Amino acid sequence: MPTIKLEVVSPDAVVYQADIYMLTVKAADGEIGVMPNHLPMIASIIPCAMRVKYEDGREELIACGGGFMEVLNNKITVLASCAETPIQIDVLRAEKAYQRAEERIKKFKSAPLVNTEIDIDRAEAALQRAIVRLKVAKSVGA
Amino acid sequence: MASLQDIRRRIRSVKSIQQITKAMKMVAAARLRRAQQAAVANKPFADKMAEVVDSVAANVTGFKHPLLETHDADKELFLIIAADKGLAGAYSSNIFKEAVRHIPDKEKADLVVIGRKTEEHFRNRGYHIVKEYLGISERPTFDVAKAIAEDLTDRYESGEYSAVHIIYARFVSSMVNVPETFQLLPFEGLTGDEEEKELTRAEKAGAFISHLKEAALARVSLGGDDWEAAMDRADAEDAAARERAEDEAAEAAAAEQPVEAPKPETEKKWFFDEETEETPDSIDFSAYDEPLEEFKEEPFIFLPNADDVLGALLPQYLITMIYAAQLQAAASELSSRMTAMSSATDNAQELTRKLDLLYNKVRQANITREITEIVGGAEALK
Repeated sequence: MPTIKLEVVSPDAVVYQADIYMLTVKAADGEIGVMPNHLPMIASIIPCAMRVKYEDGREELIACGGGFMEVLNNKITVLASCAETPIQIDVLRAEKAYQRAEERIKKFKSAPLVNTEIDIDRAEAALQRAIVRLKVAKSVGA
Repeated sequence: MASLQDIRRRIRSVKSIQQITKAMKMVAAARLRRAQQAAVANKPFADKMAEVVDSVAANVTGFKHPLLETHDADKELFLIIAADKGLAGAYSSNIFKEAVRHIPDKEKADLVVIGRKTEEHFRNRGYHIVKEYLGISERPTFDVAKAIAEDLTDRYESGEYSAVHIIYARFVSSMVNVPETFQLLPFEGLTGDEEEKELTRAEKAGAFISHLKEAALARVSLGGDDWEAAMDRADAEDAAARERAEDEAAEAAAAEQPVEAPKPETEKKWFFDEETEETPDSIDFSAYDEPLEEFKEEPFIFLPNADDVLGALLPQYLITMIYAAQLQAAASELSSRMTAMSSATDNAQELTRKLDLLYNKVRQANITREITEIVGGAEALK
């Protein structure tokens, strides 16, 4: 079976590197899958759990905090503002972040005009990131 | 002449200072390693980002974005990255010098500064500081870079500034760092004009080639003796390649002629012949063996579209540039501190040695004097 190279790069490290069979990510306007010999492509991606499928059918999730993806010469490069493989995720931290973000959003929704100090976009982005992280972390434990 | 006690006190203080500088050197060295690793780890991301921005920008014409707009204002904004703490040799003052050289008029410049030393220096000299980031110079994080980028973006979009520059020290090696200034905003070379883009690309290529030549020459002058030979060889290869290309072009031109000549009808087979299992002549499968030229040159597919991708990319690109500059600056700062503290330790060592010598001299002189006094006294009593 043909394979395609995948490289996930965050500002602080090359997070992940492997030959894979298919990558599924959430692009700005929907999920897309990239398989070997894909045409050159550049897509902006939103925070999501990227699904990596290997030649032998195994699947793995990688948390991605949004960014860009470039496909060129049978190689995918994901530029993410943050990215983590399941073992790199700090589950406790993600859970705390999840609760904090949820509280903030609830507080804001209950009285949007009073709690103007809450940056709702930020809170929602944080919630999204926490959800993705927890999902990815759990994919291994199960 | 200093008294013995004074010298002893002096030696003790030099020794304790030496201990401090030695400890600082060690701390700086340990942190430098981490900072260097961080700067290296960031490189793939920064390089790829620049590459992606380049390929997206090449596919966009007439694109409008707040970060590409030019403002007709006479003020400029400077982001200056230097140290929080002193005792880093000339690190901070080199950057201040570079900054002063690039700020034409302090009335027409607003500063965003990173580092306590930077803030003090420019505030004391009457510059207008609009924002300062303190206590982060040694350990940059992506989040801080993001906050700075967002702040700069807001300020730039207000239309108050004609340009935003960044001044920082580029890390070359653990002994060398170079203060550097470049324009952050508006992004240059990403204008929507196709012709202009071609020009800048050609210019870039030209600049790159001349840079390579310069580097080669520099190496020759540094004593790399076979560089000249290597360059001759490269030239010869170049000439050969050109000749080959010309030959091929001539051959292709020659080959075109017979194609134009009409072939006899009978030779052409249009169908798959089951008996002889011959494929029809009219289909040339050899063309499928290799990827088509157009396929190789296939332009990128953009999701959702090139304009939106570039619009989302530019702010990220700005953050990436600031983060990279911060990482470089942190490595430079720590390497400067390490070098400074290392030479301070050496100096302290040397000074202790000299003071020890002096101490012994004085001690011996004292003993000699006392003996002479006693002997003199004894003689007088006779």
